[in-house]
Amino acid sequence: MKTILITGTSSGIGKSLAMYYICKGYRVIGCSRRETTIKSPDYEHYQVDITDQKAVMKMISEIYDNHQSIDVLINNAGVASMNHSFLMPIDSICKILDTNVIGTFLMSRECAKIMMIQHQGRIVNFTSFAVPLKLEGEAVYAASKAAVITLTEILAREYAGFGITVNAVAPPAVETDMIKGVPKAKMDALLQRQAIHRYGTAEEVARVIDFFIDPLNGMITGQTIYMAGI
Amino acid sequence: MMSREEVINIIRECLRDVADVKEFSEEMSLIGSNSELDSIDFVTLMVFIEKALHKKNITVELVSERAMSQHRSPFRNVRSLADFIMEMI
Repeated sequence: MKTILITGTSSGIGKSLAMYYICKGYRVIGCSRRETTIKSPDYEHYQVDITDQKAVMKMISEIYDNHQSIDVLINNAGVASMNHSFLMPIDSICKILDTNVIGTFLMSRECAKIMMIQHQGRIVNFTSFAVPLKLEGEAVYAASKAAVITLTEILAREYAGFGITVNAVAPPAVETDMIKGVPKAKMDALLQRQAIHRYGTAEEVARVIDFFIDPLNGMITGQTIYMAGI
Repeated sequence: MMSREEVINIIRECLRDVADVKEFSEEMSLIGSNSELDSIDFVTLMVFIEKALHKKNITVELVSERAMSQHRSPFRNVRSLADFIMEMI
């Protein structure tokens, strides 16, 4: 049974991905700052802040001790706060950068330490269409997701010799809590900038992840796939 | 509490797993031109030691700010690494 670790599984795409991979026969380990509502014998949950280095190291070591493998890491956890830069509190800036950049880096590094022992592993990061679309009001969020692309490209090179691939997916607009505060007119305008003018689903995002984590796709690394025709 | 001898044994075993080391001693260089390890061997060694320490219920990050900021690298040889680990645990 393969072990897949997904961050940010308490809600949204992360929760849907956890359910998707449970159904596909994976042992799914999820983590989030909140408790889980997922009930399955094939699911384990850690209540962890991914920006806390000690907590991340402890969690990864425990997972390895219990299951002797981490085959796939999906760095889904992310936070957004949409504000004009003049109105952006410093606390929000730090929170976005901590979770989206430092959290992704820490999780990748600590999992890669296990994957290098296994001589194989798959890491999938989450970036955003906010980067190429240069969305106003999302300066910090987009900057954090641009950093994720750079991390993906460089970690792909650093980990390639250990049989680990690192790729990123930029989901289309998906109806989750993250966008529920965004006015409908703004979301409609955003959908018009996608080649495919509709919301995507978590399952469609999972199709891209399936491609990246396929054991036969060991030559695919350092890549970002933008969905919906961005 | 782990003894220095146990730490040395962990380093010895991890070195054996990482590279074909001819002769083990506390003076053995881990970095630099005199080292038998290349950069990937060194990274792997650090990870293996962290994992071995974790098995003894000791969680440390060897490549820490503290390690990197020291005037003389604690990674220069087996002796200095063992001393550094003893300070950390």
